[in-house]
This record gives sequence, C-alpha cells and structure tokens, in this order.
Amino acid sequence: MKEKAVTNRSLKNIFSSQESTIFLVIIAGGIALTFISPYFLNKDNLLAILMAASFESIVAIGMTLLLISGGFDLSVGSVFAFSGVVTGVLLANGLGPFWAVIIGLVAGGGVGYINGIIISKVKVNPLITTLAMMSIIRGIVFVMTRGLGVSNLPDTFNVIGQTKILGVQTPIIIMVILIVIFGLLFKYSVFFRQYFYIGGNEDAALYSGIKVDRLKIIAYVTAGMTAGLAGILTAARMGGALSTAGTGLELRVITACIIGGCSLAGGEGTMWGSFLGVILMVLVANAFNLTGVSPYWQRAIYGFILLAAVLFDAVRRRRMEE
Amino acid sequence: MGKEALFRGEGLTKSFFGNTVLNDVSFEINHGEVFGLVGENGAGKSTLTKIITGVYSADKGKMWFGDEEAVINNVRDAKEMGVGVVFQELSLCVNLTVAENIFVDEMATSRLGILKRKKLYARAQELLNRFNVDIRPDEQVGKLTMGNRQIIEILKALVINPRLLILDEPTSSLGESEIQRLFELIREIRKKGFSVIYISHHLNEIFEITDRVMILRDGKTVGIHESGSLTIDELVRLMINEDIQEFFGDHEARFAEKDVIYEVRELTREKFFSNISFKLHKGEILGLAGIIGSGKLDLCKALFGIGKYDSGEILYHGKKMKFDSTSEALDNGIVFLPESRKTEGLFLRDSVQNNIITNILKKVSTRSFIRKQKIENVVDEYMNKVNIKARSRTQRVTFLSGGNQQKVLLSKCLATKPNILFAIDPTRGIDVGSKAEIHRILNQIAGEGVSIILISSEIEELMALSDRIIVLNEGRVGEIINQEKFDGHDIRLSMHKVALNE
Repeated sequence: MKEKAVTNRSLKNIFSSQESTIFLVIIAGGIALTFISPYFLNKDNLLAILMAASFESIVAIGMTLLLISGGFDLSVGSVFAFSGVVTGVLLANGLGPFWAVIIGLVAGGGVGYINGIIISKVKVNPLITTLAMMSIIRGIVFVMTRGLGVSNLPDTFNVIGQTKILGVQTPIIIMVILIVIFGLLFKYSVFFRQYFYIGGNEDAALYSGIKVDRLKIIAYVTAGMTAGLAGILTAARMGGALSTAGTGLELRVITACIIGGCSLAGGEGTMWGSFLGVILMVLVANAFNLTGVSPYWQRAIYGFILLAAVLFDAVRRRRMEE
Repeated sequence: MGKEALFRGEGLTKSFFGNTVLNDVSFEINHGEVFGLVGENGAGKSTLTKIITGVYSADKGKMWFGDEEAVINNVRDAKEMGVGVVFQELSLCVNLTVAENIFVDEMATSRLGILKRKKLYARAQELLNRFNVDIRPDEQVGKLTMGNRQIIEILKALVINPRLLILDEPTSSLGESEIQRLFELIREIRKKGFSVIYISHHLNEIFEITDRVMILRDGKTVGIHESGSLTIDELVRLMINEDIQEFFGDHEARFAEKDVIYEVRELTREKFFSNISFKLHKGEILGLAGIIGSGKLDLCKALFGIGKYDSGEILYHGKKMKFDSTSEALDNGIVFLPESRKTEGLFLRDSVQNNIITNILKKVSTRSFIRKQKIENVVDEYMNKVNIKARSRTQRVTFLSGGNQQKVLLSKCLATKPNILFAIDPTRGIDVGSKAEIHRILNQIAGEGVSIILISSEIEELMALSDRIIVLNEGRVGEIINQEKFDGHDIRLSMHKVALNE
C-alpha cells in the first residue's frame, strides 16, 4: 500500500545516513572545539585523539562482529588487562617479545573461546556469561600481579607501541590497517556476511546451512584477540602492564559501536560506523580536557550517550516493525 | 432470513492516502450466526475487522446493533457495544494459569487490591463449564497444547459477553483434530446466541463452520452466499478474478519407478518415529500426512540434519549418507523450507536480495568476495520466475505481504538448485493467488526433476500436489497411497486410525 511505501523510503534514508549523521556530528563538534579552544586544531592534539582512539577501535573490531551476530562481550576490558599482564609477566621472566606477544594474544583468544563455547553450545546468554568472565579474568589479573602490574618492560617490546613511522605512532598505523581490512571483510566477504544472517534470525540461519555455533565461537575468539592486542599495545606504549587497565572499556566500546549503527538486536553494523563511534567518544573526552570540565563527569556522560544510542536504536527498530 | 439482524454495516468505506481499501461494503449478521469472511490478502478483510473493532474509524458508512446505531471510534467503544475479538497471534501469558489469563482485564480482587484466587478460579470454572471445555482453571497455560491455548484465547474474549465475536484466522497454529475441537466450541458459542465473524484462508473450514459467507475482492463485496450453496471452485472463482482451474486439479504421474534418488530404511528415533521406510523418485512430489505429533515434522528434520535419529539408514543416489548438520545437507543438494517463515525462514529486517542469496553466498562471489552484479542476476531471475511483488531488490522483507514473503522463502530454497526440497506447509496463511502460484512453481520444478517431500496442514493441498501420500500415525508409516486412490475422507480417517482404535 502507498503509506507503507512512503514510510519505508524515508526510513531507508535514515539507515543509509546513520554513518553520515555521526560523521557530520564529529565535524560539527570539531568546528565548535576549534572555536572554543585554540589547542584543538593542531597536529599533536589530533594525533593524540587518534592515539586514544586506536586502542578502543581495535577492541571495537571484535565487538562490532559480535553485535552484528546478535551477541556482545562484557569481558573485553578484563581481557585487555589480562593479555597485557600475561605478556608482561612472560617478558619479565625473560621470554622474547615475539613469543610473549603471541602467547598474550592466544590468552585473550582463549578467554573468547571459553565465552563462545558456553554461549553457543551450552546456550547461556551472553550477558551472564561475559559478565561472569569479566569478573573472573579481572580477579586472575589481580592475583597474577598482586593487584599492581608489571613495570619496566624491555625496550625490545616497547618499541611496538612507541615507534613513529612518518611522524605517526605505531598503534595508529596498526589500527588503520586493521580497520581497513576488517571494514572491507565485514562488508564484502562471504564469510563475514554470514554473521549478518545469524544476527538477523538465528533459526533461519541454521535452516540455511550456516554453521551458527562455529561462527559464534569464532566471533568471541576474535573479540578476545582484538581486546588482547589492544591491551598488549597499551602495555608497550606505557612500558608496563597495569592490572587496572581497561576498566570500563566494555561500556565505552559497546556505546561507540551502537552510536555507529550496530543494533543490540543484531544483524546491523559496519566497521566504519563503529570507528566513527569511537572517535566521537574520544572527542567528548578531549572536549572535557580542553574546556577544563571535571573529568568526573565523563562516566556519567558516557552513560547518557549509551542510553541515548540504545533509545534511538529501539525507536528505529519499532518504527521498522510497524 | 426473517428475523431481525443483530448487526448491520452500511456503506462502510475507508481510504488511506487516497487509496480506497474498503469501498461501500454493506452486510447483515443474524442472531446466532457464524458469518464467514473471505478474500485474498488486501481484499479488505482486516480493514473491515479493524473498523468493527474500533482500531480504525470508517470514512463513510454506518454500523448498527439492531435499531441502535453503533458509533465506534475506538477500541473501548467497540468493547462496550459488545464486540469481542481474537486476533491471529496468541496473546496469552504462558507463565500464568488459565483463570489468570481469562480474567486478565478484570481480576477478582478484594477492596485492598489483593487477588482473590478462589473466586477467580470459580468464575473461570463457570465459564469453562458453560462452553463444555474440559480444561482446569488452575492449569498453567504454558503446559497446554496450542489447540487448548486457542480455546482459552477465545474464552478470554467471551468474558465481556460480546454480542459479536470476531475470530481472525483462529486455526493457523492448529492441527486437524484441534480444529475440530475449536469448531465444537464455536458451535457451542452459536448455540448460546452469540454471533461470530469467522475469517480464514482455509476454505474448507469456511464450508464446515459458517452459515453464510461474504466474499471481498479489492475492497468491495463480491457477494454474500449461503455457505452450503457454493462449491469450493465457485468460492475461489469469486475471490479471484481469473479462473484457477487447476486448484484442486489432477496431474499426470511425473516419475519413473526406477529413478529412485533417495531411500529411507527403517529410520527410528525413539518416542518420535519408528521404522520409517520409503523411496523418493526423481521429480516426485511425496506428501506426508499426519496429525500433530504423528512424527512427520521430526522425521523431516532428522532427514535434513537438524534433528536426530537413533537407527536406520538413508541412501542418497544409492550411497549411504548421514547428515550431522544443515550445511552438509545443503552441500548435497537437499534444502528445507521451514514451516514458520517469520521465525525460521526469513531475515525479516533484511532485504529481498539478501534473503534470496543466503544459501548461495559462494555462487554470488568471486574468491570469497561478494559480487553485486552476480547477486542482481540471481535475484532478478527468481523475482521473475517466482513472481515476487516487491518495490525493488532491496526492499525489506518485513514490508511484503505474507504471500510475497513466502515466495521469497521459496526462492531462497530454489536458488540452491536442489535435488530434494523439503517443503513444510509452503502456503501457510497466505492468499489464494499466491497459493496458486506456489503450487504452479512446485509442479514446475518437480517437472524439471526436483524431488519434493511435502507436508501440509491442508489435506486438499496435499492431494492436489502429491504423486503419492504417506500417512504417518503415531510415528509409524500407516499407509502409502498412490494418486489414483486419493480421497480426502479416507486420508483423514487413516491419519486418525490409531487414535480411534485405542
């Protein structure tokens, strides 16, 4: 009928413009900050923003994949610290950086594997599973480090996070490479296309011959490994692995992904959108620093942004189902 | 009819954005009458229902209860005038008891707002007795069968003592025997002097339960007839413009005895089915008949690798096979069209094209990257072949009519170029036109050599399409009937045989 066609078309515009909307918000925010603070628009500050965004963007890779498949992972913050600490402890015990990093990554992926098995095979819901895992892993990190951390990591390791190539820090370069690769894969590859089907309707995906359980496990492993990689890069950047690293990270990353167009209901999301979401979150933090508003407000503001994003998502879905 | 009408609609008209969906519809419903309402999707049935129940108000026209004009502007008005309605989807709380569900609107409470459970159960029992329903009021609804849930849903609508009860597709989730129980209830309701508007796509139900039937087409009344005075062909012809002569028509046997493509030997899953053996030929449509719980669905799921079996074997192209997952079955050219398009079949929020290519991602890509051009070619092919009416390839499936959604689901299956198609209720709850088209396509692909195992809740459909029908009862093969011996009465009898003997 006619009415339907009309609403459908206008809704479609909203969807296709989800990423452009947030892009415009970022540009507008940038222009506003340029006027408010003389320190905003200079190379160092912009690089600092990208630097801050690089770790969370890497975590957002796995999270985006999970959100597309209809899941999510609250343990990424703990895994972030865990991989960093595992790598740090191995380094402190004299293992070479290459193997320390590999084992750190495997540790992160391993946590994801356990999450994935419990969620897909035992069918416990992702909220409970990853909430429990968040607490378990954080506890293990504290035990491993007696609550502190591992410091004075060797320079042969720190070089991963502290080198500049053409004036740009390595974490930024790693982030850009990964975002581009995963962005293209999410959008065009047959393999990742299957995640959109799982998130859209898991039963239908099963009847369509998609290996739902296996793919879900792979998504959780990806989330664990990307969180681990970000944690290891952070440790290298700072020359030490803190036991409290990544606290609250899960909230910020999920918020960023949802602002960027992922839906908690699954089936939607792009790497580019999630990346823009992270940039927006970092920009908010940067605005606080530049304008001198108390950083204590940050957590509250993040909460508000998440709530707003989820509300927007819910309204959007309801209008679509009408 | 002599006596004065209970309810009258006069010149009811409704437009949306200049599009007239209901055009000058007039009718009368008598006291104690079951009044059928049929028409294709989009004929105006649901708009008319929504006007009577106060969801929409009519642009023109009047409604009367006897001499009194019924001004119905909202749902509350309709309720107060005595209109009760049961919608297609069940709306019961499965965690609560029968009584709590029935009286959800007006719980018996003391002055302090405390629930008076005893009184609630007593009132529910009274209602259950009044309509001869043998269900305990303190039973948890989640433990009831779908049929009993539908009955509770109807009783819930009867609490307000409606003069006119509207039932919208009440049998869509019920099996054959449950439908009979529902009809008993409807007859009981009619006996008590209530009038019922009965909406259904299942024309055999219309003949069985209604006194008169109104046919709508393109928003207009095509006719109101005594249900007994029509044949099913006449009714179908009134509903759609073109004659669909082959609706229940015969067809030539399509397969050769020697072309066995698939054979099932003594397949057993304890408590679900046992010793199932049959052969499927190339190009054959093999119908599976059986009441709910006969094991027909569990059998199909086991064969497709989504369910289990304990013993027995499957021969495919003469070789022993066992599928542990759906992807293995699909890789071997076996595809499954599930019974519920919304929960198991389609990705509703996704586009027509993304739904159609789900099973053939590899075919529409080069070196594991998806190619837009390839997608468009495949999707266009099937949108034409299956005649999907969508605005574009990228329209979201949720916006399509049920018939078109079902065609998308069928396209998704056919795009895999299967050797064997399991089709579970492929025309469930869709309009007559789409149904005829799906029948045409199934016949066509069978002619091209695809073998089909068909389940349908409509025996007539099963007979119209199948070359042979296997009747399952209580998990066993009751009999295998060849096309020339098809007889609706006999098949029904055979389906219920074991149950009757015991």
